Amino acid sequence: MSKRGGRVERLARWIVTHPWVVLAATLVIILTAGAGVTQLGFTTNYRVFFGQDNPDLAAFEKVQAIYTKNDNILLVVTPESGEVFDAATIRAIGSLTEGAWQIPYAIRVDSVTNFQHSRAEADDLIVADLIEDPASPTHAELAFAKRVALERVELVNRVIAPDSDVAGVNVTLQLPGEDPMEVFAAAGAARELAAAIEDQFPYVNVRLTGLTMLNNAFAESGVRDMKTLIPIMYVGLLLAMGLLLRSFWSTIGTVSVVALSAVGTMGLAGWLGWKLDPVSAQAPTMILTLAIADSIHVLVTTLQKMRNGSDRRSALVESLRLNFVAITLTSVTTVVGFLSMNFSDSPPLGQLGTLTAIGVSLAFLLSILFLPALMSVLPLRAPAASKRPRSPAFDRLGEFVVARKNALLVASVVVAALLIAMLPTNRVDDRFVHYFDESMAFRQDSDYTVDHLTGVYQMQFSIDSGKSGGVNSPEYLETLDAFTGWLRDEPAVLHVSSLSDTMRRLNMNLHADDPAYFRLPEDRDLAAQYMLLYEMSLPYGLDINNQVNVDKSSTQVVVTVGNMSSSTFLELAERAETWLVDNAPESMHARATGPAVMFSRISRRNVQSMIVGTLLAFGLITLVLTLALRSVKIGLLSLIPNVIPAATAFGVWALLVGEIGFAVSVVAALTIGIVVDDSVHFLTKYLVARREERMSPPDAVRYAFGSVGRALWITSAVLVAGFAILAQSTFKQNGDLGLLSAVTIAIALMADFFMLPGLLLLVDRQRGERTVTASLKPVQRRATMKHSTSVATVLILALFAALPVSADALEQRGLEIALEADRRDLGFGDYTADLTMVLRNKHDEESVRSLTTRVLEQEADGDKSLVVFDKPADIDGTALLTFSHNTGNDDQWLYLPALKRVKRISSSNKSGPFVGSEFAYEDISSQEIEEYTYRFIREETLDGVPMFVVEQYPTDPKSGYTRQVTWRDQQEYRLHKIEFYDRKDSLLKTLTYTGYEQFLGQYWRPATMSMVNHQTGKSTVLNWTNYAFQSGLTDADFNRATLARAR
Amino acid sequence: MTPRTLIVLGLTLLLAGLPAPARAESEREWGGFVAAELRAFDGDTQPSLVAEPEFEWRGPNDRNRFAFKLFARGDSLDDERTHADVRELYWERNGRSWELRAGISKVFWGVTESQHLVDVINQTDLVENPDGEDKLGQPMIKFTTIRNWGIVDVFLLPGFRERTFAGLDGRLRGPLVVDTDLTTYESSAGDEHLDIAARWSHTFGVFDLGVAGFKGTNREPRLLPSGAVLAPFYDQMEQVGVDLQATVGDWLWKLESIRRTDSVETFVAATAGLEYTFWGVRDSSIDVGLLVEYLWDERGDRAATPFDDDWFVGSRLAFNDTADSTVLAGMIFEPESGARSGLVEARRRFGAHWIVEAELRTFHGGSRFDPIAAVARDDHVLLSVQRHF
Repeated sequence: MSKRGGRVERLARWIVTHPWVVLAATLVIILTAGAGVTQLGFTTNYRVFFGQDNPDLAAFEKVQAIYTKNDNILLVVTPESGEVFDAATIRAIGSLTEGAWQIPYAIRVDSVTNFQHSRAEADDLIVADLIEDPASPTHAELAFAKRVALERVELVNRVIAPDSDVAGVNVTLQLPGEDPMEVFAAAGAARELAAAIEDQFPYVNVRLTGLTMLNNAFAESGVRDMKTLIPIMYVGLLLAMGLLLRSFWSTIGTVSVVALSAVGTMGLAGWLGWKLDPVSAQAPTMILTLAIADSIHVLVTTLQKMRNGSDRRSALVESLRLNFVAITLTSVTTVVGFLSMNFSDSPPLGQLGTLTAIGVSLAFLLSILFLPALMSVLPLRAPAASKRPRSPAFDRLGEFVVARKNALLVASVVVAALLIAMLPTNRVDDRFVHYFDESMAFRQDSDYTVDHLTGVYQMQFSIDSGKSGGVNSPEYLETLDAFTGWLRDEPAVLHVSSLSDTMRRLNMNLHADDPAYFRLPEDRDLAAQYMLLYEMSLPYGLDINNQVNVDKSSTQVVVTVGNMSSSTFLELAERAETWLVDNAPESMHARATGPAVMFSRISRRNVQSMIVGTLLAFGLITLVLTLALRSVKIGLLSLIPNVIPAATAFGVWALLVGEIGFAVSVVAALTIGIVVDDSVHFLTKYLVARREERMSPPDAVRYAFGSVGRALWITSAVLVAGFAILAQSTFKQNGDLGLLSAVTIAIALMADFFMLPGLLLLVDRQRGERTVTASLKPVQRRATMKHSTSVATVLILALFAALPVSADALEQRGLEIALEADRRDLGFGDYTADLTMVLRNKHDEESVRSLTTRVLEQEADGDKSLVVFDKPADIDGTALLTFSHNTGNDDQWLYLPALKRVKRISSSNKSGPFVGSEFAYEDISSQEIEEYTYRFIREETLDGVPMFVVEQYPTDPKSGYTRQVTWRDQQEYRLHKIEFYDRKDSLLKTLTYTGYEQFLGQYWRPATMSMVNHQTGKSTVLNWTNYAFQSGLTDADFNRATLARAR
Repeated sequence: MTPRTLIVLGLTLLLAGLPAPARAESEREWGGFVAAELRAFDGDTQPSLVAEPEFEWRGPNDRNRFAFKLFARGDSLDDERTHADVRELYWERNGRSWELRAGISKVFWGVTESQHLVDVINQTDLVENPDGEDKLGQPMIKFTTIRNWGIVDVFLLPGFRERTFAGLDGRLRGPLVVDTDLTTYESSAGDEHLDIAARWSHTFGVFDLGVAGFKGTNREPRLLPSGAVLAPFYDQMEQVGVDLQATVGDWLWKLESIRRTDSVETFVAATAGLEYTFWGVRDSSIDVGLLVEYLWDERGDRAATPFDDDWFVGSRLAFNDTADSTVLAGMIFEPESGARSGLVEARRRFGAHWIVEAELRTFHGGSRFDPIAAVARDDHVLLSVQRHF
C-alpha cells in the first residue's frame, strides 16, 4: 500500500513539475485518436439490431429474397367531406398514387384508384385500374368503385376504411441498404409529396406511417435528441458543477477531461471502422456523464487541501495519492459493468457498452495524468468561503447517521424490501410505436392510422407447397383459405393478404362473374390458367410477386394487426404457427417473420440475457472489490449497497411504468458502474480511517462522511440532473433509460448514506482495543457471510422472479407421443449395463472407453445413475453419480480414485462433450418429459416401419440445440433416430438406435447407439452389453459413499 | 513397522483369508502404473523411476473387497526420496447401508483446491510433491453408516506415519535438513498413540456439508532446531473442521474452516473461494474454469504453514478431447509480503495407455521470513511419462 502510494506520489510530483510535457503528449495522442471521428459511419437500418447469426433475421432475409420487399410507407388520406369516393378526394388520391412512384426506391404503389380490378367480359378476363381516370371520375364510376372496394377483403382495412371515410396509399420500397441516407431520402420525399398534395387539395389531410417511417423516426429522434436535449444536458451538467464546486477553473478542468475522453473514444471507433446507430450514438453522452466523477473527486480533495493551507501543487499531489486507489477501482468496476452490456443479444447495445468502457478508461488516464498537469498551470484558487470548517453539512450528516444508525438501517431495509417486492410485477413487454411519445408526428399519425384505417405491425408467413407450381393445387388453396379465414377470425387481426382471395375472384370472373363461382377452383390446371391469364393482364409494377414466388411453389400471407404489445403479438404468431401444424401438411408449416416479429422476439431474449450479464458483472465487481480492499467481509458487504439500488429502482419502475422493454433492460448493467463508484469511495475512506488512522468504526464513518460525502453528493447530483434531462426525450429508448438511471443513482446515494454506515457498524464491531488490528485483517466471520449472501440470494431470486414465465404453446400430439413413450418405460425399477464407446475422428482413428452404468428409477423425480469407467487405464475407477431432476439442474458428483476425492460438480454443462465423445452430457443423461416442449410433425415410414416424427425443443436455455427431430416407431414408441440442430438451427448430429432387445417382456433397450457429427466428421458408437433389469439396486447404492467402491 | 500396525495388518490378512464363498463370481483385477520422471532445477537434474502396482479382489455380489496398492520411487539425487510405501492394504465388508474397512487406506475430506485444511487422516508424503497432495497409507479401522440424514464415518487410527522430508542432497528443502531420526512425540505412546476421528456429511439441495472431529497426533510437526539440523516434534491435537460447498449453476462456492487446539494454542484457520466455469468457450469444446480462494490462518506469521493471509488464483482448461488434455495454472500469493508460488501443469494421454505430464513450479519469497523464501531458488520443471495398466 505504502509502496503503491509512494509510486503514485512520485508520478504525481513529476506531472506537476513537468506539466507542459504531459499536456502536449496527452493532447497529441488524444487528438490523433480523435481525428478518427471523420471516419465514423452511421447506419439507420434496423437490421443492425440483430446479430449476424440471429435466426429470426436469417429467416426474414430468406423471405425477403423470395418476395417483394416489405419496407413500406403508408400515406393515409382523410378527406374533410368524410367520404373517400367523391370526385375531389379521388382526384387527390389519384395524384398521390401517381406522385408516390417518384419516391426514391419505390417499387410498387397500391391504392383504391390503381387497384387491379378483374372482371369478365364475355369469355375474356379484363383487368384494369378500379378508377381508370381519377382526374375526372364520373358519378357512375365512383358509385361502382365504392361498391367494389368495400366488398373486397384485399382492400378493406388496408387502403380503405370500412365506412369509406379514410383511404391509404401504400408505397412498397426496396432499399438497397448501402447508404444510411436512403431512409431519410425516402421519408423526406414522402413528406414533401404529402405537403404538396395537401397544398394542392386543401380539403384532404395526408398522414404518414409504415415501416420506413418507423425507421426514419428512430433515426430522427436520435438526431433530435442530439440537437436539443443533449446540449441542454451539458449546459445543465456545467451549471450543476459550477454551482457545487464553486470554482471556475475546476469546472474548466473537468470539462476538458470529459470532452477529450469522448472525442478520443469516438475517434478510436472511427479508426476501428465501427458504424454508429441510434443506440450506440448515445455513447458520447454516457462517457461525458461518467467521466465527470473521476475529475470531481480529484478536484474536491485538491480544493479541500488548498483551503487547509497547502499550495496548489502539493495539494494536487496529495489529492492524487488519496484518490488513486478509489478512482482506479471505480474505473475498473465501471468498465466491467459496461462490458457486461455485451451480453445483450443486440449488437448496438454491446457496442454502446464497449465504447463507454473505452471512454471510461480514457477518462481515468486523463484524470490522473492530464488533469493534474492542467490544474498546475491554471490559476486555480480555493473558493473564498474558506472561513467555514470543512464540509460542516456532511460532518453533521455523519453525526446524525451514527446516532440513528439502527433506526436508519431498519427503515432503509424495510423501504427497500417493500419496493423490491414490487419488482416481480414488472412485465417484459414492448410497443414499438410507443417508443415515440405523443408529441411526435410519427406517433400521432400511427395512432390515427390504427384508429381509422389499418395497423402498423405486420407478420408474414411464407407458405410452401413443397413443389413447383404447387400453389395451384386445390388442396393447397383450401388449406391456405382456411388459414386465412382463421386469421380473419382473430379479433386483433385487421387485414390479411392471401392468394386464396385472388383465386376465388378469378374463378368467379372466368365464370362470367357468376357469384356462385366465388369459390376456389376445383382443378389444378384451371387454377394455373387463371393465374397465368391474370399475371399477363397486370401492368408493370403491380405484378403478383408480392404474394407468389417465381416458380409458383409458395405464397406469402401478410397479416396486419392493430396496436398491441410485443407479448400479445408473439402469442398470436405462435397460435398461428400452431394452427398450421395442426391443420396443414408439413410443407406448409411456417414460422412467422417480419421486422415486428423479430423485434418482439429479440426484446424478450434481450431482457433475459441482460439479467445473466448483470449478475455476472455483480459477481466480478464483488471479486475485484474483495481483492482490492483485501477484505472478504467488506467485499461481500459491498454487494448490498451495489445490488439494492438497481433492485429497488426496478421496484419503483413497477409502480411508475410496470413495463420492461428493450431499453430499460440494460439500465441495471448501465448503472452498476456508477452505483459502485459511490460505495467504493465511501468504503475506501472508511477503511483508510480504520487501518491507517486506527479510528473506531463510528469515527471512521464520521471521517468517511466528512472526506467523501461532499464529492459523492456532487457527482450524484450532477449525474441525476444529467439523466433527468435525458429522461425528457420524446424517444422512449432514451427517455426511459434516463429516467430509470436517474432513479437508480438517487437510490444508490441514499443507500450509501443511510444503509451502508449502519451495516458497517453492525458488522465491524470492535472487540477491545488490543484486537483492533486483528479484526481489521480480512476475517471471515461466518455469520456475516451468511447474512450478506442470504441478502444477495434474496435479491437474485427477486430478479429472476421478474422474468415472465410464459408457457410455450405445447403441441398436444407431440406431447402425447412423448408421454406414451415415457409411460411404456415406467416401472423398470433399475438396470445395469456395460458399455463400450468407440470414438472416431475424421481420419478414422479410434479411441475406446469402457464403462459400466447403473440406473435407478425414481417415482416422483428424475432417475439416479452411476457411471464407472474402466478404460482408458488411467481413469480406471473414476465414477460419476447423477441425481437427475425433472426440472432444474441435476446434482452430480465425480469420484477421483487417485485422490480418493468425491467432488460435487456443476451440472449446468449440458452441451459439452461427454468424455471427449460426440455425445453431449444432455444426450446421455436421463431424458425427462419436462425438459422439452414437443410438436408433432408427421407420420412417415423409415426402413419400412411406420414412425411418428416429433420435434422437441429443449426448455433449458443452456442446451446446445434449438431442436431435435425424433423418429419413434408407432408400434412400440422406441426411438430410432434423432437429428440434433445446433444453436444456429443447422443440422449438427444424427443419432441412430439399432439392435433393440426387449427385457422383462416390456422394456426395450438398443444394442448400439451411433452418433455422427455432420459438421466435424467425427463419430461415436456406443455398444451396450450385459443389460440386467431389476437386480435389486436401492438408493443406498447411489450415494457419495458408494462411489468409491463402485465398479 | 510398529507392533500395532502389524496387528492391524495381521487382522486384515486374517479376515481377507477367511474362506471365500465358493461361488465363482469373485473378480480379480491388476492395475497401476510405472513412470519415468525428470525434475530439472537450476543446477540439478533429478531423474527418478516410479512404480505403483495395485490389485483388487471382489467377492460375490461385491460384499467383500480386498485392495492392495504399493508405491515405490527410486531417486537418483535424494536418498530420502527413494522410498516405498504401502498406500493401501485393506479388507472391506459392506452391507449396502454400512461399510467396515480394516487395514491401510487413504481418505480425503474437503472441498477447496489450494490447501486441504480439514483433511487430517493421512500423513503427507512431502518428498513426492511440494503441493502435499500425495499421502502415505494410514492404518485404520473405519466404519461407515449411510442414513437418510447423512453419512457418518468413525475412525480408529492405530499407528502414526511420520511426514517425509527431503534429505541433504535433495531439493525443495529449507537451509537446514530435517533429520527424521531425531523425531520426538508429546505422547508417551510415541507413534503408537491411538487416534480417533469421526465425520458426518450430508447434501442439502445445492449445499454439501461436512463436519469432522479429530483427536490424536498432529500430522503437522513442529521443526525444532537441534544443532545444525531440525528435529520434528509431533504434539497432540484436537480439531473440529467444517467443509461446505454450494453448487449453483456454473458457480462452486467453497468454504473450509478448522478450529484446532495443539500443545501451544487454539486457533482458527479457513479457506474460502469460488470456482466458475465457462463451458465450451467460443463454441469450442474447451471448458475454462476460474478459481479464486482466500487462505487465512489466525496464527499469522507464527503458522507453520506459509498460507496465513494468501490468495490463490487459478485457471483450469479442459479440452474435452479424446486425449483428455488438461492444463492447470495457478498462483498463491501473499499481498502483504509479496511472496508467491506459481504452478503450470499440463497433461494429456497418448494412445490408450500412456500419459505425459509436464509441470512448472516457481517460488518467490517476498521477505526472508516467509516460509516460501526457503525454497525460493527451487523453481523447477517436471516431466513425467507414465504407462498405465
